[in-house]
Amino acid sequence: MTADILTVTDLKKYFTIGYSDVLRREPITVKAVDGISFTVKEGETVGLVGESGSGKSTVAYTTIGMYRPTAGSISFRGQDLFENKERPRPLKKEIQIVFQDPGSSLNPRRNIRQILELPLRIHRRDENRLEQIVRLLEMVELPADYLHKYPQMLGGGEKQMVAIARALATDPSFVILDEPTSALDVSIQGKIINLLIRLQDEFHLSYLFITHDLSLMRNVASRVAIMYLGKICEVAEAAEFFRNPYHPYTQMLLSSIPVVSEEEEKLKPKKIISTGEIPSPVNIPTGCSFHLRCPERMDICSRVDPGMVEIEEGHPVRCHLYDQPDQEGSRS
Amino acid sequence: MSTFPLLEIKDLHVHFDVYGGTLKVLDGVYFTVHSGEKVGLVGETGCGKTTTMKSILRILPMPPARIPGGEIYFKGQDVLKMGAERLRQVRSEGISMIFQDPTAALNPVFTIGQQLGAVVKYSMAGKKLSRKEIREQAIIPLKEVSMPDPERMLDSYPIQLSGGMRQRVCIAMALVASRELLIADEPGTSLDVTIEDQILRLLHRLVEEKDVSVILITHTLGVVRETTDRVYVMYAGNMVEVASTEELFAQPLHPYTHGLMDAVPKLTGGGVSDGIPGRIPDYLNPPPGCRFHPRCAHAMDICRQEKPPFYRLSDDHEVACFLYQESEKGKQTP
Repeated sequence: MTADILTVTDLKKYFTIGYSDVLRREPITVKAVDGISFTVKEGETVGLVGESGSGKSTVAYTTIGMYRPTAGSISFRGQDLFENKERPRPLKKEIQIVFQDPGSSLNPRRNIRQILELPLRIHRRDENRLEQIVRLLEMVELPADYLHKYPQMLGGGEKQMVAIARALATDPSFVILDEPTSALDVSIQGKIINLLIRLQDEFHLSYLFITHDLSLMRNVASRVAIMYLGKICEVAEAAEFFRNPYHPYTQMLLSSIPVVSEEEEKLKPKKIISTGEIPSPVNIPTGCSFHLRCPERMDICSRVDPGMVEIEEGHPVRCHLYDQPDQEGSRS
Repeated sequence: MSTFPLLEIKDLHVHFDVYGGTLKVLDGVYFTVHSGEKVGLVGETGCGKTTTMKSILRILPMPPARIPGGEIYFKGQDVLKMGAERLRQVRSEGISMIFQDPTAALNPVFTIGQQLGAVVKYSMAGKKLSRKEIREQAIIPLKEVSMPDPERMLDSYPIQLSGGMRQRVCIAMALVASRELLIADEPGTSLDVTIEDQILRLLHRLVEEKDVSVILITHTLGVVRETTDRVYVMYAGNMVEVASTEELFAQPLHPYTHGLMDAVPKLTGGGVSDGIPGRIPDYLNPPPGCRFHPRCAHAMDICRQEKPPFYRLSDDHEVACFLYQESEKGKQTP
């Protein structure tokens, strides 16, 4: 077994967005992330899937250090990421991020050389920088004369490649990919994805891959976690996940995917039709947060929040359908 | 044929005059919709899908846009030659459009009721309606799109609704008068998968109930497969392939269509293909001949010189590619 590179334990991140009255007695909080735990192993890609507002980006930003968690911890190779007030530089160097929209994550007034130079200047002071920048461009399959170009002169795919090169400049071992291809066309998406997979092999990187595209997830992630309203509702190996989805929300997600072939159609759970919308994270429903949309809800669901139950080895599900030991597996 | 198709676009060219030259965006587009048909239009960002649709309703900003050539027949009449009154009639009774981003399509400072009411008034021109009647008329389409609590919804502002609900309002607006053609421009793209699924199913149901024809624009092939009868594939201002949906997905012919299909990640796994090399051409200086040739693995000499006509492979399958020049010429060609 390979060791865990990132361990997230009962992570919570609440944001205060206002107060209930003028006397500021009761703060109104958004529970963006509400007690999630998962691990990422060395060299693995873990997919984090969810609709907008489910808290997946908050998990990413907390891991990278843009937020401090309200409760819980994240440890990287056994070291707590938040033990110091400011994260030590060697730790910052190890964890990097690629954002969703390269159009806004690259500074339009800096050329590619300046963009790639900044992380090198901070984290790798001693070496020959120009040479390294050229090597970075080679790594992402861009020609060296892109050094003097500005972001707006590049296409969307090329910009994202620069963003990837920038993330790799510090020689990290863990990279967070926050919807790296959702702003791009499908014909370009493939190239970026394959580049990421190749770089992962070459540099033994671990990825936390955030997306809302389950079909893409099937092809890149080794394990998938589904998030709904700040909580993880199911975790499984990618292949297993598409064969045996247990949680009703997972089944709803899968049945909503538009597919292009008959073989794929057969993989979609038929019985569940998508209804309702994700509620506001300010007013999370009582009990199981999914019960308002759930086609299989029972009385208990509106009262008690279910706990994680491991149905099969490495396949935990958070749903009342499965948490009575005598009924275990009866619905599969 | 004695009867006209509902909509027929012939050899449409649209240019945009910009600083530095002319963007030749549409380069001879052919497009037909028959009565009662659900037609899909697929292509990447910037290939001219929306431009084509906007020229049907004549809502392109002119200038900078300019239509140097082409005809657009709606029920046998050329939209491009219509006077203001006829055009108003087409817009209020014939064709309606749903836009990609419902947030941008709705005015944030008016209530849903005011905006729907305006559409009702416009569609019922000639008839005098009291305020109460307008309100009653406005509730009907809201109910049709399964909007919860439509009474209260009429007095809400767009910002109080979620993205999915806003898109429902836009669909309701498009359905106010009984139209014959509905143009849906990426109606689910800005929404989450589960919501997109709901919106598409809603559209599907309404179309069946009301017997309207639909043009569904999208860049997601899966959506087209599940909702349309016939598909046009568009690349850089040209239609490159047209076929019945079933046929297109069973046997894509154009190298571009092939590339697109391969590039879609599959639920069955097995990795992702590299996609299509290069990017969409610069419309200021589009490549001569077939506009796809710089990205095409099968490019031949003739592709660099001549624009390929449509070749007819079967009754409902035509493709604009010289790889198939043995076949008989298609009817999409002049």
